[in-house]
Amino acid sequence: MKNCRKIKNKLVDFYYKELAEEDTADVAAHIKNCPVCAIELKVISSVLEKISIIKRPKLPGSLYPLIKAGLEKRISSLAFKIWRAPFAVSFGLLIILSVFSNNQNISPVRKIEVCDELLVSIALRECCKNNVKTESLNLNILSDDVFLDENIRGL
Amino acid sequence: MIDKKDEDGLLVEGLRAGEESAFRLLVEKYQTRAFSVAFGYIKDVEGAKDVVQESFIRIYEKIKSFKGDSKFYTWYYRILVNLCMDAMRKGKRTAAFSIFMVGESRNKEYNLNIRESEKEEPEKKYAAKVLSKKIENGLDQLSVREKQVFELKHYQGFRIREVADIMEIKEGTVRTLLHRAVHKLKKFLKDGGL
Ligand SMILES: [Zn+2]
Repeated sequence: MKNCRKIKNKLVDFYYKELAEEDTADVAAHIKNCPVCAIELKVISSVLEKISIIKRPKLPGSLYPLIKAGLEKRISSLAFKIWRAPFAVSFGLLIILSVFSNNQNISPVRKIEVCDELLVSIALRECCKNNVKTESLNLNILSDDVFLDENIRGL
Repeated sequence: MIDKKDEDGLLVEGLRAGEESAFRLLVEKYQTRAFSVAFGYIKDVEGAKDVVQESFIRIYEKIKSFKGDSKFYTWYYRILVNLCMDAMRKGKRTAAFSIFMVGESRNKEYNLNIRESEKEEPEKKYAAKVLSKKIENGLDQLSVREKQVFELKHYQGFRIREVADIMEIKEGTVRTLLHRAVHKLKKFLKDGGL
């Protein structure tokens, strides 16, 4: 038939009842007189009806509480990451600084340990006398610049 | 009265402004459809729930990038389908499980549906099981676009015009893809003697 192609294009819409009233009437009239299109409609109906026998599961309840909990977890983990960032940066800087300090030997704490004021003064006197650097002495002296300065000045 | 499009627009604006109630309303409006879509891909109740949950979290996170030049559901649907594809790629799909199979699985709700409809005639249960298996295999054989069109039209009940909008294709293309899908499914059903 002349209109078959046009009608076939409308069969899915016809099955799903999506055609306008006028188009529905046209298709209905056509398939009454056209066995080819009638068979095509039968095929569409039969396949879709068979498939409709099986229903998909329905969502058992609202997912909102789960979604909200998941979102809060995500946000708190992100906040933790943000909070951790400066901490990680500071920690990294400390490591870099300590390595750098070690290389440059600018640590405020010398590798000398002060145990006894008298011992220090003796040690420093010996150093001055023999022109020996304090660092080379085998003494555990813990001090800072100020303390050393004061002792050196006091000699 | 607010139409559907404006309603989504208002909810999106609310969500952008950080209103929790807007987010809750969007979830409640679309979660059933989203679950049906996800189930079509994942074929597992818990897996589908996980994907839907993640999809709405993404919506919350990405809402500022939604430009509003398409419908909210179109935008959301793409995010959802991408997540379904990812989940399938990651092998989250339980190979041994089938959407239409009746048996021990995590799909308690689905099994209940089947049992309710068939407990009066147990002999039909076997026939339904065979048919279900054929349909499942048939749906898996459709191309990605045929399957998407079929899902949106048949399982989610969108009008052809809406399917075209969601997939950003012409209505004629939707009809062609549906037609092709039906004929492929017919072949599978026929090959199975059904
Ligand atoms: Zn005809």
